[in-house]
Amino acid sequence: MKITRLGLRQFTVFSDVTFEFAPGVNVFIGENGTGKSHVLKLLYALTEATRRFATRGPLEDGLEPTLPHLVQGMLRGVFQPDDLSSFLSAVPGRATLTLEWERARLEVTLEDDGASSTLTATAEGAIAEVGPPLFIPPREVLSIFPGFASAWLKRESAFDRTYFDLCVALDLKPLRKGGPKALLDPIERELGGNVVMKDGRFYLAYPGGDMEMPMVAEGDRKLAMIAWLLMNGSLSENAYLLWDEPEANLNPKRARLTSDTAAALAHAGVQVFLATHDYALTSELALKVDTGSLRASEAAFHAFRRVAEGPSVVVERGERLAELSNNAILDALASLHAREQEALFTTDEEAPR
Amino acid sequence: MKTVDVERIRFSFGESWTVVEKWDDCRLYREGIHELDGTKAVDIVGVRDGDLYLIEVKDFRGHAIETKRRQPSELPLAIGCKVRDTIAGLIGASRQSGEPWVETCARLLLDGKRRIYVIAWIEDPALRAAEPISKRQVWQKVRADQLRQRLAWLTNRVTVASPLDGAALADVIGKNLPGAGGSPA
Repeated sequence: MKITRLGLRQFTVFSDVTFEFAPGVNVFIGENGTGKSHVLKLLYALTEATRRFATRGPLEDGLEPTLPHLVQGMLRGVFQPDDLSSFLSAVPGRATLTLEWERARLEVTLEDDGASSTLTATAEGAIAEVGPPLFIPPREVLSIFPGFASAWLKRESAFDRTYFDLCVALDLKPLRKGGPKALLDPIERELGGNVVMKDGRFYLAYPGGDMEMPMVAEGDRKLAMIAWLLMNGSLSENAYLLWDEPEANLNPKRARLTSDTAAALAHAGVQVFLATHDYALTSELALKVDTGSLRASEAAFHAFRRVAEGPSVVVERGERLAELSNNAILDALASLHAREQEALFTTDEEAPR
Repeated sequence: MKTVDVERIRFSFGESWTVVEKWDDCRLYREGIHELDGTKAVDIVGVRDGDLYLIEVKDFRGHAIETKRRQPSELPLAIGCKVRDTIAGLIGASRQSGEPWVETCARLLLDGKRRIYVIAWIEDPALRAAEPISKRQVWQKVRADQLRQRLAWLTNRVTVASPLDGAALADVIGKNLPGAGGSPA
């Protein structure tokens, strides 16, 4: 079941914003500090809390999995705030978060009167159909995987719980039938090998032998992580992929593979949300929409922008990248172009012919 | 073959072009929508393979100061407005003139199955510093993206053509005339 809408009122940098999501690929762009990762993490935390509530799955504290407890636990684990009041745009104040799927709805209210914070949460509709979310952070985790989950549970790690949950997902064994070939083959071709796990450690199996994952190039480790999640079924139909800066550590040449993967996942039933600063990746995704390999209604581009006065952020939506009147990536490149022209263009008399 | 001169560049359009008109010089424009103060026009209107082309030519060679001040920030908006006004002018003229090529253009504008191409033909000054061609091509893409932003309401078939990238305007040859780009006439 797809996520259709997220409404945020007085939540961190968002005074009043409603996101309308596409069922396939959603691309978040915007300058640093405009809340792109916040929205990815929020989608993750709220979806996972709702899914656990529907399946009666408690958090690691073993307490009764009531909806408010799960929402609060996920928000604290994912964002690691000192206090719930950190989520509010102003204290005293009240924030509301509304997440909607096609046939379900979650509403969360956070309130702080200056002395204490309270959180309420209600869900309605077909919450049993809410799929599993997967948050992939900018850095790869295969190299830190061995022993990470148990260390995190013992509170020996400062990493947020998206890393823990990802390691739990990575710990799943590959499906007997294998991952989706159409998605896996291009990644394994690019890697020149395939991913294997032996005794709780990852290796990249090349034709000439296995290489320990920490020895593999960081960009390759990122691809290997995606490959393994495909192989073990974590990225399959009805899942939500929250993908933060997939371009980190990847050469722009791999933007095409990243966009191919995002589109193919969407076609396989995964709802993809990705935040990016990369010109090549946004251009590749825009080309997919412009050429019809991603239908316009399947994808949406969301531009986050701080309004001139104050910290508040507004969001513009377009089914095509070119529809966005604010594109921070393009603006930065155009500004560089302008400055370079000013610095380097000759007068006609000086110009070589 | 039909030739059109714009900014001291001679464009020779091959036989595949069924319509080639210098719109901003055309009587239908001059005596038509141009009468409205502030109306702009693209340089050339063309039809090839049943698709409509709106072509704007900018020669920034020999205009270094103007280039610095105007080109990056104002060009997409300026061309966007010219395209807007050209479409309005063609539609209006088709209702008044009975000129077959104008009627063809107006029909193509209204036919959602036909493509509309907007081509900015830009001649840049040489750079003082050596640079790889691929870098210029990146800038061309950035400029095309900026232009596409301004024309998203009409078409996504928007590109910047130049001597670096002749493929964007097929079956057309651009040749400098004496005095082109500020060179001695």
